[in-house]
Amino acid sequence: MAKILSFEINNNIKIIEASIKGEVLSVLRCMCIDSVYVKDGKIIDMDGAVNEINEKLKSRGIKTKKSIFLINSNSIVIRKIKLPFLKKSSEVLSMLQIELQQTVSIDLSKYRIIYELSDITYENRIPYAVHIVYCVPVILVSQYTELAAKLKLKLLKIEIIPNCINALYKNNIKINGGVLNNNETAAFVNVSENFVSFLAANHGICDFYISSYFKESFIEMAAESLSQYRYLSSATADNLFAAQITKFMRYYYSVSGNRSIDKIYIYGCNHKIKEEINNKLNINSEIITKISNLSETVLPDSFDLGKYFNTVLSLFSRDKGLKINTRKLKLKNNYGYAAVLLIISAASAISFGYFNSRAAIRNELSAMSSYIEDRENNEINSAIEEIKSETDYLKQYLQQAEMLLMTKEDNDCVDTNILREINRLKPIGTKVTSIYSDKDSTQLECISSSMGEVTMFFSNLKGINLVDSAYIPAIQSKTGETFSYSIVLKLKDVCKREK
Amino acid sequence: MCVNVKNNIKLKALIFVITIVLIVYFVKAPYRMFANLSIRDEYKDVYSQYENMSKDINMKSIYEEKQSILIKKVNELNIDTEILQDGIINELNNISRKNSIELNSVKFSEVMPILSDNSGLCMKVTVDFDSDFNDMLNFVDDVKKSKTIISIPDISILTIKNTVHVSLNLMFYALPMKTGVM
Repeated sequence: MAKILSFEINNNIKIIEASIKGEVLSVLRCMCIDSVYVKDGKIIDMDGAVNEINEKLKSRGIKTKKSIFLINSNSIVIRKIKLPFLKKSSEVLSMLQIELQQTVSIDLSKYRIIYELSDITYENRIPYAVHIVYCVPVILVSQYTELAAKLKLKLLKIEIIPNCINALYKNNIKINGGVLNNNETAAFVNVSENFVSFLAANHGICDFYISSYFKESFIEMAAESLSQYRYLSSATADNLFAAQITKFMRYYYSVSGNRSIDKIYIYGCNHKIKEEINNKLNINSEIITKISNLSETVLPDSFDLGKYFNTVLSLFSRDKGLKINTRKLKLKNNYGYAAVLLIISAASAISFGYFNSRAAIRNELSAMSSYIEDRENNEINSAIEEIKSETDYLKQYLQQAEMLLMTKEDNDCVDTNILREINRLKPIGTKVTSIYSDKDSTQLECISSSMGEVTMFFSNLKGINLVDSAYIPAIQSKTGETFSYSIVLKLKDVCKREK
Repeated sequence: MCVNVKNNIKLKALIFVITIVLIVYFVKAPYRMFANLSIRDEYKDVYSQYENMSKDINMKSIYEEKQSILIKKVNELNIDTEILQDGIINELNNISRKNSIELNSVKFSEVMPILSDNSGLCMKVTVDFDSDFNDMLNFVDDVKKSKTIISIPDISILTIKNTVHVSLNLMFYALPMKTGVM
């Protein structure tokens, strides 16, 4: 059950906290602030009013934020305008504005216009619509919006007093157990200590509203001799109320063209007025003590339906009320909505991205694992590993083989070419008895018949290309006929290898 | 006007949301990195294995080609993988026969390791024979030309009348190869 605060601002501030369940309204708390900061629905001192209301709400421990504000002001202008029947509300509104400019001497730009379709008539088979137009001062709407904002309340709608009467008819609300008759003209009179208001409803639509506020109470005024209340012979308080109501009725008759009011419903504080009306005006009147759809079981002790009648009715109204200038509010809400949406989307997107990527990686891992574990791939891979290992070994083997061949070359010290050359260059009278050849040198043991042959052989050997140097350690001759000697040859290739 | 503003805001929000979703959908990299963190080690290991394996499989033909080139080179070197005495005797016998030489003696040393890492093997063989000088030279030449890798570190020739007595030291080499290769 949603709790709602209803504010009625007139010459005082009436507040009720109520909850609505289906069609049934339960008043939970009610309070009235006799404020000097408001007058005829206008807020004279905004900060003062805010402080007063805040203190009251705080003292009663009310934390409800949803609120409805009811404009109960004499400054609401009501007119009946007849137009050719139009379906589009925008067209109706613009036509009404044109008509109003001709009939009402007010600056329409300072008023909000709402209307109710009262009746449809046909003239020469052309349908005409009778509209009841309510012109609500923009300043009141702005003030109430500001007040709600300062009170940190969520403003659901701003309602006007005529709409509350319309709600009675639209919602078929019974007054004192009786059904309201749409065909009758009924007046709703609110009488309090120093205030009287008069609302008239024709065909279930409120088409007249007037109110009067007195600085002095009617009791004080009755004590004085007031010549203006000529209608009554003696000036009692009830007489004065009746006189004022009579004035309102005359005014209503003059502006509406109606010549009769079928019934008067009275609410407020002064209940004795009923007798006066019955006696003096001869009009059927009834004091409102009970309305349907209002739960009587949970009513607070201080609750008086007469006092809070309008405040309660504003909660029954199903109309959208006045369009509040909620652009900023909507913008703020929209930005909030967009921000929340973005945060949720971003979070979802990040989560989605994360899990999606994680799933993708898992899939990739699974695919890679399958590839790795595949038997055929494993066999191929093993073979490749073997090939690689053999290749590495063969590379190493080739290096070793090259080293082995170099070692073989190093150790290969015998050259048959030098042996052939020695044999070829040997003089006829010279004999080589032995040859020893190794890495270091080639040594010859020789016997020559003459010293000349020795030198010839020696110089021949030195002339061999392969010989780097030749050396004869000693020459011996024992008999004087033969010379024995040895020759040591250093070969070029050997020398190179040594270097 | 309020309705228009409201619609505008909702439209903008919708466009923004769609943009974010599209960005997330198409720009996966940051999320990929983020998601990677949680299974980083596992992913790293598997990815490394997969990368190596697929690379190897794709390069199989190249590896095989490399291997065959190396095998060809090794074969071209024609290096014995072991030192076989019967092979040495057979080779020396063939060469001596070819050059009409009868070997007086053939002495073998033990197989010795060579090279810095001792991976190679060698055997010293000392051959004694008597022959004509030219036959001896041809014998030495044929030894050098032998397919077997042989070096002749030294030779000792003693002339006796028209013949020579030769004592020839030979070194036979081999490079053992791991079994199963080639």
